[in-house]
Amino acid sequence: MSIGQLTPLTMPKWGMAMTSGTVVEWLVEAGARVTRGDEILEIETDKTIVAMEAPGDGELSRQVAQPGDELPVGALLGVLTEGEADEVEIDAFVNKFRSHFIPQEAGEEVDLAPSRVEIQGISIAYRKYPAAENGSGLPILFIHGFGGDQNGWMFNAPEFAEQRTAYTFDLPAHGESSRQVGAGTLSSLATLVADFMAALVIPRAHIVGHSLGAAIAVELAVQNPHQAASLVLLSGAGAGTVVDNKYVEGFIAAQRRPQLKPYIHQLFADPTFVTREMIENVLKAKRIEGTGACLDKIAEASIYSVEDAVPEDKLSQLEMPALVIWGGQDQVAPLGQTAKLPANTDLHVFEQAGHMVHIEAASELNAMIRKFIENY
Amino acid sequence: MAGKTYRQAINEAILQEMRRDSTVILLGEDVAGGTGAGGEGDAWGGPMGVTRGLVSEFGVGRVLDTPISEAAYMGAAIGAAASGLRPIADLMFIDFAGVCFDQIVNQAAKYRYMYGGQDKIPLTIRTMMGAGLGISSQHSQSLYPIFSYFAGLKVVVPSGPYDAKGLLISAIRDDDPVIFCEHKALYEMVEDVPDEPYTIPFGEANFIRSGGDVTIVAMSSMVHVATKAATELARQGIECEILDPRTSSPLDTESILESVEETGRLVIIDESGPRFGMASEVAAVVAEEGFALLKAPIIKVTPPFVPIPAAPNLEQLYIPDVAQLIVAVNKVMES
Repeated sequence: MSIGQLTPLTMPKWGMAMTSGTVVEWLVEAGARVTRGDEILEIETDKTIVAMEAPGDGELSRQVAQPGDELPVGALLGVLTEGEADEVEIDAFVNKFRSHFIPQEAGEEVDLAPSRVEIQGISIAYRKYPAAENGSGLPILFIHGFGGDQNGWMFNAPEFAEQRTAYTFDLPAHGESSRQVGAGTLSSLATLVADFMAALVIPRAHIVGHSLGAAIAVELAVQNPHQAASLVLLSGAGAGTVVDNKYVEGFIAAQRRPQLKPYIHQLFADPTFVTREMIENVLKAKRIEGTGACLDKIAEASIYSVEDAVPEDKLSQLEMPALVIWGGQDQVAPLGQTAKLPANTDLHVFEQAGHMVHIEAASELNAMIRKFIENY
Repeated sequence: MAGKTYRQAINEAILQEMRRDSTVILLGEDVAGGTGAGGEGDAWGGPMGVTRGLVSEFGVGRVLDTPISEAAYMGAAIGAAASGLRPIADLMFIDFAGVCFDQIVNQAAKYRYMYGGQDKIPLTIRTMMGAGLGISSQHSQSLYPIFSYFAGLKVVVPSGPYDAKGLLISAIRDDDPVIFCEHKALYEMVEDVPDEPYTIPFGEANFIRSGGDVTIVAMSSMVHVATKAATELARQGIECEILDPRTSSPLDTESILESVEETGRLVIIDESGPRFGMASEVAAVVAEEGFALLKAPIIKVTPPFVPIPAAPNLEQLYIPDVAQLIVAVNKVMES
């Protein structure tokens, strides 16, 4: 940044459905110095409260939004100043921003619907979060877990756009992708992800996988080492215990809210993350004809048959650095044994988080991933 | 997944089920349109155009325009269901149910029970209800509570396109008679609806909005009145939980009680009448099974006990609205 650079802090958009947020409190005093990645402000959405991070280094020269303000996405929250700027310049900046800001109307969501691409005859729904102008880093690709969908990355994927393009997608038979799974093995799913990357012309990316998605990421990296610059494995490979088959069977069989609820609760350490909307969204995906049979097939081929939660042989083959992350309160795949991880692999445990570590510890995890992948 | 209207969602459900199962047939007045009248075939699809296009694909053998005799075609539909078909009978206005009431409540509803389960009546009756179009007393009533009275009938009251498609597919596949009540003011409503077939189970309420202060139970078009009121009330600092039971029979009393356990306050808004109606039934369930949970008396927001006026200004006064609901919520909050 040059001298006197002013940066607007704006209401972030965490998830496709988010149109506004409410300011809870500033975590940093006006006038304080902040470093990129510092948590500066708490924002409440329909779903939860998340801390917003400083987008760069500088002085928090103005707190425009006040606790209790409900503001649309993109609205001005504050001003970050790098270098010298006087009050008059900051006032002018705030006024100019406000006079140019047009809030998006509710329902005007242009990017609500995901894009689609056909891979191996399966229609895959995906979203691209394009990098900001100067974001020339390698892309980052997120692979969700069993029974989830790409919306699970809503607090993560949009947060990398400053440096790089982010991609999320729905695995076959999940979210809005079509209800076909092929063989349903880790190997076939990894091939599908590799083909997906090829179709979107992503020759190489940092791969973040959660749970089953982490196992797919490892498989992908073993099959196609050149496609993965690094791996971030969340609650799914490299540590932990084998997932209880009964959990997976019960999740697949649950057709109604009261049946499904305990399974969703087990995913989180903090039950306040579980909303009825979340449960209804999982049910919506499960209701689509053919979902149950496809999930059964994936579970048979990729979960029930897995005897070793810690595929050391595969991890030791990895040619790229890997970061293994676990939630200390994981009830689905509890942190038990830890693999003898290869030299270039780190393990970090978020003690307070459950299986859904990317939701429960979103901002800390984002900062950690950002720091990790910056080196590669 | 794409944005679809309530009309398109219903049409798609019928289309997909007719493609999947050759025993599914559709019959009623003007469902094809123009058949035998020398006019243009498939011009109508019913007065609201809901079934337009179906006769072109499935032909007059499976999409049948009937004479204007509800008793005759409802009897035919029940007979067809008893003998192996899976008919969808279109009762244009629920207000006309009187003409075929015996067929529905004494034949369809009781058949499986009286014959010891030896036969079944997999019949769906699609029908239109609700005020707001200025079409007077005999074309605007929300009579679904009448059918909810009868053991042997299932009653579905969808509030939007997503629920309409999933619940209609469940209705068509159900082996018992189902009354599927479409609100005529909702046909233009748009919502994301999956292209694939999907089913929503009966007797499972949908939590439209979460909130800890007051439970609002609403069905059909009243869900949208409740949503508007809740947005307004949130600005005043009152958080409403809105619960749409989706089906009045079976009724998800468990979810209603679960919500009242959290809020301690209950307001029911409904377009059916104030006496012996849906609001009375929900109030009775909570009074009987959850009295100790209540911090304030239950309030019902319903139309007055009068026939529905034809004059548009009076009709608007008749339909429960946002202002009335806000007053009711404020009142339960005072206690």
